[in-house]
Amino acid sequence: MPVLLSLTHVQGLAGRRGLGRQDCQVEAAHQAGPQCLVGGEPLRHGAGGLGDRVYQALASVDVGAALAAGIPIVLLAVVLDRVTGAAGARLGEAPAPNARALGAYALIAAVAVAVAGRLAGRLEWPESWVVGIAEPVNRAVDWMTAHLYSGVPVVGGTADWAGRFTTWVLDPLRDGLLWLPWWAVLLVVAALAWLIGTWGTALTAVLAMAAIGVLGVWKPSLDTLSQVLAAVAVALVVGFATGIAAARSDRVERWLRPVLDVFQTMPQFVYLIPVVALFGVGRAPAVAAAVVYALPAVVRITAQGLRQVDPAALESARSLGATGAQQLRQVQLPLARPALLLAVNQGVVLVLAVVVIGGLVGGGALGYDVVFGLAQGDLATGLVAGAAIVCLGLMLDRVTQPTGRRARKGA
Amino acid sequence: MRIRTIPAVAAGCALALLTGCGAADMTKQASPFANARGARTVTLSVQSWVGAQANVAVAQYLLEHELGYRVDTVQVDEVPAWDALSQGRVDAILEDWGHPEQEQRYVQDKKTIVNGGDLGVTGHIGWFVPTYFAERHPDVTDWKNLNKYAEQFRTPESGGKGQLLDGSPSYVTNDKALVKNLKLDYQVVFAGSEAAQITQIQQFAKEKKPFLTYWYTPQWLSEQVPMTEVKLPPYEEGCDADPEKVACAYPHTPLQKYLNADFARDGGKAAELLRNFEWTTEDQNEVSLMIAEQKLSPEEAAGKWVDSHRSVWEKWLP
Repeated sequence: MPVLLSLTHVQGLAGRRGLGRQDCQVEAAHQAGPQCLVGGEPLRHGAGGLGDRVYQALASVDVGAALAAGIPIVLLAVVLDRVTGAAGARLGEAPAPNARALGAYALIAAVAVAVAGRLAGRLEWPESWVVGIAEPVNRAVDWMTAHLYSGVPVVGGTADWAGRFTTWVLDPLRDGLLWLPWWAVLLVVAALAWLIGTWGTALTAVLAMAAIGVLGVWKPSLDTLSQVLAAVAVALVVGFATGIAAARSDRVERWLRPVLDVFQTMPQFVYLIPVVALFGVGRAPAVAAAVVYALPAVVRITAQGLRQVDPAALESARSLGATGAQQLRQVQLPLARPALLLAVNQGVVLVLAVVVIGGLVGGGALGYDVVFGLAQGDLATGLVAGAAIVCLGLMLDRVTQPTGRRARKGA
Repeated sequence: MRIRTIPAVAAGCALALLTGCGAADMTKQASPFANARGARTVTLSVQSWVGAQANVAVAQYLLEHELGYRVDTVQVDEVPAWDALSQGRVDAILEDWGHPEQEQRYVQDKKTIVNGGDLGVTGHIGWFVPTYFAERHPDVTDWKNLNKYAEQFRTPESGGKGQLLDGSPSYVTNDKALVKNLKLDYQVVFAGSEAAQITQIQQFAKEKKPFLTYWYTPQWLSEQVPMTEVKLPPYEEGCDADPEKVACAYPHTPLQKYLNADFARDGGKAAELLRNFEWTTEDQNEVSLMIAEQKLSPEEAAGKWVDSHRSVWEKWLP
């Protein structure tokens, strides 16, 4: 999975300046993904660089300018990904006889050109080669939000969808979770974790959940949990469908790869504003942002899992006259089960990782508490909410982690 | 097992040295840009709202073009900015809306920060409804009638009550207490960031929908979406002392500048210019609108303003 790996490397590039340094490391340790590069929270503490521009553009709600700063981040990530991916793919091969010499020449040539350029005083990117994308992007976003927000015939506008999603999915889910007595929640968690995992994982999950109660943030945590569950459900439905399509067609996968790269690395701040413009402030845009963030991992893991199914098994299914759909349903999906469960697990963890980002668009609950704590320097609020998010993560991870039992059965 | 613990402990210690223990001396550690050799560099804190960007842009422009300084800006939230200012990682905050706790700690007790005088702009926080709605329903501008309109301010997020839209968590707000103490049938919905709040207001305004929002002046959006303030029970000195029992309006705050104490003493002409920096709400709004509406970069906007307002800023020069 070169993509996932390389993205974490990218985070290290951000915030090597002044005040932002420590925040970035903390963020990276969170495994949260590209926020660090992205100009997320660390920036509010002065990390600088590209993220700085993303953040500044947001004060005047200038999506175009934010996107212009966001694209280089994506490109950086893609370059690093392709380079490391290619290097990884070549590791096992014997090098071509004169490849090393060629590489050396190329390096020398690049250095020579760089030195010459420096001496000639051509340091800056030529002004006339710069294309301003901020304005057309702003116009496109304006058009989109003006025409899709509401009053679209038959299907209704995006604001109506968001309202319905909030009223019919998020509200019942939250109220249902809050209606359950606390011990019932613990019991459900224990049962789920035990069914999927082992006694050990069930114990960890229950303890994590109990810790949330002890921290005194039971209500906001269940609110966050309801949002996470809804987001995971949406991400899985869309992700599995896309993943299956990608696994069955090379062309789809080729087209999908850059799109997923963009989803994964584009600073969330950049698309948060159009998302708010489409869905309004509240939990719906928070869920949408989380889905966008978790989707690439779900799609990639699903596609890879399906592709790695033993070709011999497929071959024999085909020779028995199975149709494409039958192959998928009766051979590929059951054999790829571990990969699918891993996709669920990763989806859950990634969705949880952007809960804080959701707090910035009205997601409320724990995400908002963290943002509040950070903005006000109120460690008590922020830290407790952060710890609760970690506990939720621990619990969800254990509940969806199939490894323990599978290993025992397989033995 | 035993052999393995030694390198692990060593690594742990090294890590602690690099991170934790290194942090112990944070107060003495200056940003590489603050008070660097020759002291020709100034570091300014930029808060997230556009008005603050306007202050900094103009100050930066003058420092660079008139006095030949190098200026660095850092994006920091308000409270962390105070800590950074005290440590000398930032030289000045140009627009502060009042942080009594930090003032007590750093200005009175530790004396690491000094007041840099008035910015010249008066800030005010309040509850606002769009003017197009206030014109049709004039009585909405008194808080006593708000319950009558709760129905119209309802959204999916506000759960059957009226929605009072709040913004960035870094801003001062008593809204939750106000709603409770004034017995209003409203739910405070936190947008979580100013960008989200502005976007939502713009969407409401496009459709001429009613909304009630926490807002402040001066702010560039008020020019785009005219808003009328809802009168809350009048502000009296000390009526907001207990955050749980607040039942009065927000005060009018003359916005302040704050300088790092060392910078104020040794900062030379730069410190003097920043101390003299004083302009009006109209001036600030002019620059803000260039940034927010015409989408100029802060630097371009500052350049334009400086070109046409020589008489204002000439008085600031040392």
